[in-house]
Amino acid sequence: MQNNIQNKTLIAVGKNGEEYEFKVQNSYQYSSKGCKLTIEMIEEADGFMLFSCEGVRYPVEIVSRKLNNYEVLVNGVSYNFTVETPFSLKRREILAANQPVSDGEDVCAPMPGKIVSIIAQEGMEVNPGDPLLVLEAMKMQNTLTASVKGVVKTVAAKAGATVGKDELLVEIKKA
Amino acid sequence: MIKSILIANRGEIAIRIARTARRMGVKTYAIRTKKEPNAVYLSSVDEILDFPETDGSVPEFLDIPNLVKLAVDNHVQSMHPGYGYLSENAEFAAACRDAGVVFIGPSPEVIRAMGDKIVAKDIAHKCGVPMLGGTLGGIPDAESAVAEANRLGYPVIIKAASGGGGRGMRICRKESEVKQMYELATSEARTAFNDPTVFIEKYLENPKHIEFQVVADKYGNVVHLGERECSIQRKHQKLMEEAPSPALDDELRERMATAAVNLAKAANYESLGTVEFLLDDNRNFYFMEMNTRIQVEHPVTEMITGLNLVELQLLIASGEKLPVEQKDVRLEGWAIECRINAEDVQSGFVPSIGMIRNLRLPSDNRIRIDSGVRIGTEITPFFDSMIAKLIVHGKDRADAIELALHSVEHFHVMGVKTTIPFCKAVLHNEVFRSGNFNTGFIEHDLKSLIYKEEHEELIAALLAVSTYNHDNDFSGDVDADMAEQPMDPWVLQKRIRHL
Repeated sequence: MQNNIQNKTLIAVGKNGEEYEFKVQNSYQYSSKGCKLTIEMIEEADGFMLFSCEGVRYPVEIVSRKLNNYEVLVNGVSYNFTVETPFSLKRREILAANQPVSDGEDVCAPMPGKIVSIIAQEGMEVNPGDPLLVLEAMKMQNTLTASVKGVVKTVAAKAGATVGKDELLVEIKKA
Repeated sequence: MIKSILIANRGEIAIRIARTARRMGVKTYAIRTKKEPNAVYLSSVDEILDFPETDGSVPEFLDIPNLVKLAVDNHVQSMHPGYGYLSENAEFAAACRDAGVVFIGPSPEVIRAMGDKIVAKDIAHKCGVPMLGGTLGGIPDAESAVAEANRLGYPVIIKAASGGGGRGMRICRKESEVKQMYELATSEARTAFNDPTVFIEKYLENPKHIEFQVVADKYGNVVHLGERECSIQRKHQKLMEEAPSPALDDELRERMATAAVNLAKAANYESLGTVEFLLDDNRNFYFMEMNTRIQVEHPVTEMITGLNLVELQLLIASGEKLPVEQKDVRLEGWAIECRINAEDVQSGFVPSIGMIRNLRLPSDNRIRIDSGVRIGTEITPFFDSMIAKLIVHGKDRADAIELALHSVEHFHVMGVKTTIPFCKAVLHNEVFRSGNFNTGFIEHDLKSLIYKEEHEELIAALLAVSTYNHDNDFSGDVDADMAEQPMDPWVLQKRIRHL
């Protein structure tokens, strides 16, 4: 297969469903809405990455890549995109339409820290924005809140306990 | 003059203290802890002392007996607490004094008086400093709380006498809330500060936060070094400070400064201190509290006065007279400090934990960077998330804002997310630029917490797409090639049916 002539379409889908479609000519020539975009990745002497697009350079960082999910920083601002082909995008849409709606929310620790206090109790009704517990990390107290309306199913966290990142703290069942 | 100094702190403030102490010919000692044995601050001192083995129940920089013992055993003459930790702890200051170690700060008695909000208010009241109404003493029970709140008019705020840093405070907007809030505030104060005493004040919605730097020697000389504007806050955490404040004119500055100096005199203050005021829309100011330590944001005052505040602290602690009189103090130009923290602004300012893989700092002779990190430093949950303080000095406010913007644009950190996009958003904001902002700024005036350049999202999308394209390079990689082959629609239909 020819490496430099690809002529395919790739779509970057953002967190809120925003779509950016690009025609790929080769590894450095793309186009968006008929606009030609010539890119270049420049690694500077001290290891910083610059992404050049039509001659304009942006400081960037690839934070993570899991399968086709990318988190990138441009000017220090974080963006999450899932890269899809037109076909995989369609597949995703069909799958999403057939997926049962999630029946609740698992509240996990966004960072390692110490549980200061627990507000949520099993069986308690919660609304989006209601505080569930307070997690202290780096001198700061962070209140974790519910994002769905429902009933607290389990409270796995214990006051005073130290928890790791992504540890399950509270389970909410949708009302 | 003091000959040696133990710095009971870490990070950028330990480095900043050591820098001045060494220049003055004072031998400097730092403390190495197990949590960060290779920290940058350790290379800024003459001698490193290892913190002794303990059961770990008390964090190193809060361990009064061991800190004092380190100073005594190593014949270190004085102790500098920095900010945070034990810097406003009267017991620590007393323990130092009892052990014959000079505590760099005011006496334990003054720290205790200012640490108790009710005593501090009483002193302020006696020397005529304006206050936000309310009783001078503690509130004995819920009924008195309701009566006092009704007398003041709503909203009111219930505060813990021993509180600080935004903790132990409850706002009541109507009578029915007072009883419950009173109970909550007392129980919170008891657990957090071991002192259930609370008091009530009138609550100001979105005031300005203005603080005055004062400095006093042992001979009754008190000088003020102008004000700092600290209204850019989130949950009582300051994020950006400047000096002077755009809200003050000479007349108001003079009145507030006089109040601050009078308060310091009435408290028999000696050393460096900060008098915090709230300023309302009608330019009325009210005493809030006095901080008896060096503050994080002290460099903005140093920039506009040309004075070195740590040097003043050391001179005063050595029993010397203040080297400046009020008439010598000139406020020149405008300084802004941006706190560059390892925080993910887009996820609600949560700390961004990880390793600083790369660092590129701006430089200019009007820029100062106080930092305690280097490439390879881990941002851990043990300590605060500060990466650096970026301080700029412009000829006026507009010049300082442009310089600050230019500097944050050239401040690059790899490995963790930072508050730089937030600093840009503030510096670009029209309300901020007008100077007419208050502590409600982030909530009301800042439409986006981060600054995005035009087309930035498109660029990010293109970066993701091109990285994907690069990752799935088709030359020779059969699996990746296969993955790109369209799936037979019939197979797809079948798979969906079996979900």
